[in-house]
Amino acid sequence: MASEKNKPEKQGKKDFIINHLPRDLVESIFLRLPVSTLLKCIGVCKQWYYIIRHPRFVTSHLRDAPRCTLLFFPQESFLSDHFPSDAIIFDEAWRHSIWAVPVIGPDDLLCGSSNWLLCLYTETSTIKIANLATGECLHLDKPVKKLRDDHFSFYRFGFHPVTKEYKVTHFLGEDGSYSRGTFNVIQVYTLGSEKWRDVSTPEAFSLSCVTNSGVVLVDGTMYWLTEETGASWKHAVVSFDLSSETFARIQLPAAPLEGSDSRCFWTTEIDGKEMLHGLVMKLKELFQHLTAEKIRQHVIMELNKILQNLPDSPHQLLLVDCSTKLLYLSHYARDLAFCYCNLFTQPLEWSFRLLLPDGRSLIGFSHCKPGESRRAAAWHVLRPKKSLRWQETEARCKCHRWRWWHDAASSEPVTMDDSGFYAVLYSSADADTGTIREQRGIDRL
Amino acid sequence: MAAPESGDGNNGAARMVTLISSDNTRFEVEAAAASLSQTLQLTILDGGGGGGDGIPLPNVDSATLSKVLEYCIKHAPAAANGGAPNATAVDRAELERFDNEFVNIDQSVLYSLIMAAHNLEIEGLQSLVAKKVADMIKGKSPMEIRRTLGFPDPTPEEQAEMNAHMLEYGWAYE
Repeated sequence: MASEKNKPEKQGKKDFIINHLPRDLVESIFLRLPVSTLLKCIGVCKQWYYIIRHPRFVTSHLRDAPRCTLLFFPQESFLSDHFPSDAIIFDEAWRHSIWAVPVIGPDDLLCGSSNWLLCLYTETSTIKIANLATGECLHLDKPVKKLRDDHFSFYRFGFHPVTKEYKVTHFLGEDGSYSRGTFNVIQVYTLGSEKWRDVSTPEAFSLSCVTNSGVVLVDGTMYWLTEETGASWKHAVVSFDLSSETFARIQLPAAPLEGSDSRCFWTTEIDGKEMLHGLVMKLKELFQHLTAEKIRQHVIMELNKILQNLPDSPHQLLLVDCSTKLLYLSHYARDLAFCYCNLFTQPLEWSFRLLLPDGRSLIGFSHCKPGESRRAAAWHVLRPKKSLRWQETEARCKCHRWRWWHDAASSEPVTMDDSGFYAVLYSSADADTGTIREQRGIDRL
Repeated sequence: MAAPESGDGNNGAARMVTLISSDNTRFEVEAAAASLSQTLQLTILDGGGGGGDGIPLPNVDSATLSKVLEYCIKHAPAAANGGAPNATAVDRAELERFDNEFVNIDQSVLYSLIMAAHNLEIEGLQSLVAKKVADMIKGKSPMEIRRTLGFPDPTPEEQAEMNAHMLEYGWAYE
């Protein structure tokens, strides 16, 4: 049998190479390769190039691809050092990628990300859509050129999982100016289409709310806060469906602490699935306003539980509760709490959690308070039970700012032995140029 | 093989079916093993392949079919257990060892196997081979991939294209 089989193989089958397989099968092989390898594969031959570049393949690859976390750092200066914008990508195991992609310009600011596409705001007349995986960029003219006081936070980028469309949105200030502090038009650009379109809002919405609290994207819908006219402490959440391009208003339950500074309010998403609206307040004030004994007890209980488990470290420690993916606290956060309600549950109810001091923002929040003094930000992700040391991570990481933080922060490792917890060590977030932003995307071409 | 307790068979003993390769070689295997193929499973459920009939497989030659059946026989017990929820770690490790060795073969055989697995709809085998080929590609430059996979030497045009690709995506090579 062997002799009989070898012969035709030497001749006829010598070039029975992979390319003679049906395309489906070649694709099934490519689907098992990461983008970094596929980028090399497109250089192998024309046939591979066309298979890998075909939208059908890209879509299938995207479907099976793992989710990654992108941490974006806007350009800023610490002391006399200037740091350009930069980003780190973490894989599912929270290892960061070893290759950096030159798509992020030194002054670019992030407007959003989806499936490894980044939308970057530039000072020029264009918005940049960058593919983090392939290093390709697309420049898109801004809807209005030379707009005074244009700001990256007025632009947003999102993907709708059903229509599979990518859209860039722009909040256009009323009468084409931002000075009035409101907007009544959202300009929308669908990737691949010809031009920007105007979508009128049902009423004028507050721009400062957008700047302060940011815009959150969950499942193809944008959410942001708006103030009720005449009462800066009275908020509602507005949603904009990227597919139907329609607006809806989510009425919030009465805030437990009316009269708070409007900057205390925020919205955030958890894991791209849940929408939270929150309010930061001092514990003392919270206690004054809350009569429900149960709530008091809840807050105190949480506080005690967390304080007990804190390692003896001079640094702020931030915990992410895995069950709710929520709960953050710092070492000396004895005087701050935050209240939140999940906008996807009915009826809306406020819950109470503790928060970092000084209203600092955290990973997962899209914004922190503007006007805060600029301080170095440093954070570190630890795998449960692994107690990675700063040095180890830092050594493998190309981001120069990481090194800077490492020098600025302690090299003391933080250990959490409670499995299921990620410990994140950080010291503050920058304010004006954007903040530490966490974006999740999916590996794709 | 779980022959003694095979409740699904018509008789007490494991039911056998006959498969006929493209070059007319007959293979007799347990129905349970052949049923790893979705295509065959339907025929077998309809009562085909028993007795002297045999199921003709005009797309699979005998060399490939014997290899395919080697895989099926090894994997049939685990598949019969419904994804082997009660399989021990030892069993799984043994299967893994078998799989690794199984695909450690000539490339042309790999391609014949994946074609056969595709035609016969044996998902596990298809993904095993695809993974193997993917592993052969991983971490290599375009030129190395061509060499590993036995491509002919690039024509001057192809060479020029590869150089251009290197220029554009050089950063991806660390």
